[in-house]
Amino acid sequence: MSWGDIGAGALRAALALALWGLGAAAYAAWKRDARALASARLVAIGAFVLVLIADLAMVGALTAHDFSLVYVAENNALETPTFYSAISLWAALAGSILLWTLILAGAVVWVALRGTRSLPRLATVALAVLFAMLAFFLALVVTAAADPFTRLAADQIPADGNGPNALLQNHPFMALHPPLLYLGYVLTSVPFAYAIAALILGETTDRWLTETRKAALASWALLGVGIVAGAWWSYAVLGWGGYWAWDPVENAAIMPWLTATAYLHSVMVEEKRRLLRTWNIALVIATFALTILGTFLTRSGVVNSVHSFTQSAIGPLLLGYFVAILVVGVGLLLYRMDDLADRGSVGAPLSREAIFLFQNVLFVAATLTVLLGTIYPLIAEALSGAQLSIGAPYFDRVEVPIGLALLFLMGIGPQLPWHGASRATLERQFTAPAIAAAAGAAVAVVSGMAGWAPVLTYALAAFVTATVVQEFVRGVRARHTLHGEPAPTAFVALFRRNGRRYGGYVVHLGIVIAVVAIATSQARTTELEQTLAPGDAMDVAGYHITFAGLRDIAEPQRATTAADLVITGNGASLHLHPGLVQYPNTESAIGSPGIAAGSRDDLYTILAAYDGTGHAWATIRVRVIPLVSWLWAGGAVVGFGALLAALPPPKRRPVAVAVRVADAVGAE
Amino acid sequence: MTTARWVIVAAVLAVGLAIAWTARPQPQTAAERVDRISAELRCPVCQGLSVQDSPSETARSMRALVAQRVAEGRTDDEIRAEFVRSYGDWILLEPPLLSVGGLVWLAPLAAIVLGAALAWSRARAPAPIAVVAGPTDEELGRLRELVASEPE
Amino acid sequence: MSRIARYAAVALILGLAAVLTLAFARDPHDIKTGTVGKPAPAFALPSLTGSATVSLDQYKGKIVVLNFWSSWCIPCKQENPALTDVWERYRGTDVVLIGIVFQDSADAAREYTARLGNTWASALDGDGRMALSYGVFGPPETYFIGADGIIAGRHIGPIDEQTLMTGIETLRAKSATR
Repeated sequence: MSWGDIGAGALRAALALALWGLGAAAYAAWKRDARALASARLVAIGAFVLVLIADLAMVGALTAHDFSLVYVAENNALETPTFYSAISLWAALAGSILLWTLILAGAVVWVALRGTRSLPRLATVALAVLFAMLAFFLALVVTAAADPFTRLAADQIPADGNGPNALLQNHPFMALHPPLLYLGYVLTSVPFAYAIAALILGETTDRWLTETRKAALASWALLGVGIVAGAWWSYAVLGWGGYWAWDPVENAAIMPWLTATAYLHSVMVEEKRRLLRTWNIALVIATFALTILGTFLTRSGVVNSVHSFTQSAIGPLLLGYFVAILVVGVGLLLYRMDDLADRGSVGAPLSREAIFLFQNVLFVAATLTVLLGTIYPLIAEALSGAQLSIGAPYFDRVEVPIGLALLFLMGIGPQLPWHGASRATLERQFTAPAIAAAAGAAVAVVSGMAGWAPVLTYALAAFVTATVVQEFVRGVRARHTLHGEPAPTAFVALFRRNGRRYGGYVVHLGIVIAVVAIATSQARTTELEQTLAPGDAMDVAGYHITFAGLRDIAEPQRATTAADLVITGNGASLHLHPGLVQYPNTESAIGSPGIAAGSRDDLYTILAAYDGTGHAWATIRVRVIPLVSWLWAGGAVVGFGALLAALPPPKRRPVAVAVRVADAVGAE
Repeated sequence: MTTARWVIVAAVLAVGLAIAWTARPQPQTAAERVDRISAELRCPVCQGLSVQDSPSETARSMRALVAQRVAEGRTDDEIRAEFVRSYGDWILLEPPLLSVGGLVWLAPLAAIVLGAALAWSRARAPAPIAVVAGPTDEELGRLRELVASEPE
Repeated sequence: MSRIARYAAVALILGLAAVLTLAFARDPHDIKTGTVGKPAPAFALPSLTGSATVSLDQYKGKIVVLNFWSSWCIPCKQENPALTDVWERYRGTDVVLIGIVFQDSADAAREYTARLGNTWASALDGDGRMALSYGVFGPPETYFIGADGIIAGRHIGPIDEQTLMTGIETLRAKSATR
């Protein structure tokens, strides 16, 4: 039995199980049949195991260089190292869908086993929805369009494969970025399934919100960290000197993250005051639909992108799936809209729930802008034949003001009480943060920032930081007053007693760090490009860079020409080796930057061109990018804060109440 | 006005002044002009990168051409038009306001204005609350603790 | 309010679906250039071999096939036999083939020409400006310029004999009927 046989067989068996599970779960929900539910549970486990077998079979085929499979022949070669062979599972479309399906099957198991025990009726319907999705993706991987186990005819099996796309084997980070993103994408299907279930059943309570809170937070955090990981990959591996280019696939990842962020905040209003319920369901549907749209844009070949590795017949199928999701989701929402309508008003413009409403509007506007910018070239060409580009200048110009407005809301939101704030409250809350804002603006001016955006960013960053610090100080002081806890103990206790709130504040701090990093790196990057002969030097922002010479490095799977650079100045003394890497299956060489990361700035060197015949000259490009390392640090803080926010709340103490009731009863 | 209010107003004014100061029109050096114009041109052989960002050969020769035209004293529009003549509208990374692409500027503006208006109309003022004796320090402490531990 | 919301939602979804479906009709790699249909920009470049100057008005009234290439470009090597065949066929007629080498060093280009035995004229675009004026993306790229001096069409990527012949014959037919 070959890898292909195992894999293909497992997938087809899994598809059969998924369809059975769909029927069983739907029947169990309809007739409240416990046996059908039990069989659905078993089938969920079975489907997961089978998909896992299929994924492992593909990894096995890749590491064993089994070129009888089309996918392996196209994405693997004899000289591909084992590590990169294994992670080539997600090198191209068909394998990526295998990974996606595995994660989805895992989500199905979670809902089948844990979910159905806490909210039986809701979870069973959600399970049916998830089985339907799983069946769709399994059907996708057994069709000829995307079957990763497609065989080559015996006489066409090559002796050696193409090898993975050069960009995908340049760096071990490829092991991390796609799985993180896929986890984020697929986990959004859990809140979505529950939301659909709630709509179908006409649920009037908000239990599905609390049930899916962990999944929503997890998917948001994984998406966020996955996006930052992608930005890091773009920066350190793609080698053009930046971390975000508003590439269609980058946009595809950030759109669901934006709506997910809005959702995470907006649900607080529903929990507290049972308002904005229509918004929340709409946001959940939008988030999930955008993950599918993102996959469609990435994998269908419809837009040119860094990720357009293949064009595939899967496009129309994904598009159909996307439209189906929208139709079902929006249709159900409109059907139940009257039941979900708000009873009660949102309160004064300066109340916490109003701020959440404004942030919903801003996040949706940001998402729609990114969507419009990404597909506008398609629209314009379809309607008028005109070919135009929409790139970074457009996105920056529109998204920066929205982002700054959101940053402002991030500062005032947590400080405002529910229902509204009095003048006195406002004055008391915002005196210190206002001073901090002025200080932040002063820092920006003094450090030589040009342009209104960086100055405003610094002011708002200081503002938000001050509000967060204020909150922590208040919390610690209160615990000290009441329990006599010393400050450090009180500080830790804040997280243990209310992880969601204080973990959220840590996330906000992480965002502030990242935003300051982005603003500073965009505003004050210095750059110089020069053609040098060995021994020549160039000076940029205090760094003295000497070009020592060119060097050729041959490896089994690639050939590199690197420039040796000696760097002094600004207290630094180091060597960097930017290079150009030639893989056999690509025509042009891939840049490999030489980066010296630091807390104040990164020294980023690129070998742009060199003398191929005599190694007599090289064109070196140097960028000094301030504070870019803070971007990765900010991402880590956000991830850490999300972990803190996921801490379970402390168990309540029911004893005191029971005694009082007993007293009262006894007194009669 | 209370002290707090004065402080807040002063701080906001300070921030506004700082913004106005940094946003003042400054003469751009030639190098800055080249960078700015290059950032608005699309590198023809890259995936959406600007001529400013791309290290490719084509982008570098385009930058050299932009630098020469800037040195010759051409205006931004003239330089952009030269590239549009060779490569079509596609070479510009943001569509000019008055064109088919110009609509793309209108949409986000409309979305924000509409959305904000809708949201604002839903936010209504609270009913006035009767003033009672304020809480004691002890009660204030307890209240703070309760609020701090309340799930958000 | 909900009636408007219903209609708006349906309209938006249908619109989005329509746009994305239409998007399938286009090939994202087909990018129109600005110069097709316009007069071919004049140029005067040093010849690769010898010291003469190669300029467009030397070939006024002739059909010019302009082929942009570089010595490091692998598809250029692949298309070379097609160019050689076409050059042999049309040599001495009203059709002329000119090679423009850019993003390359003169030595490497000369060595390439000598190694492959190319006999048609090639000119060196040292700073790449001439290629920019034509709207070239990268080697190999071929432009068809009619006898009237207008760029009739261009082909991105390695060209084959069939496409070359079709382009040339179309232009010959057009100039014959004038």
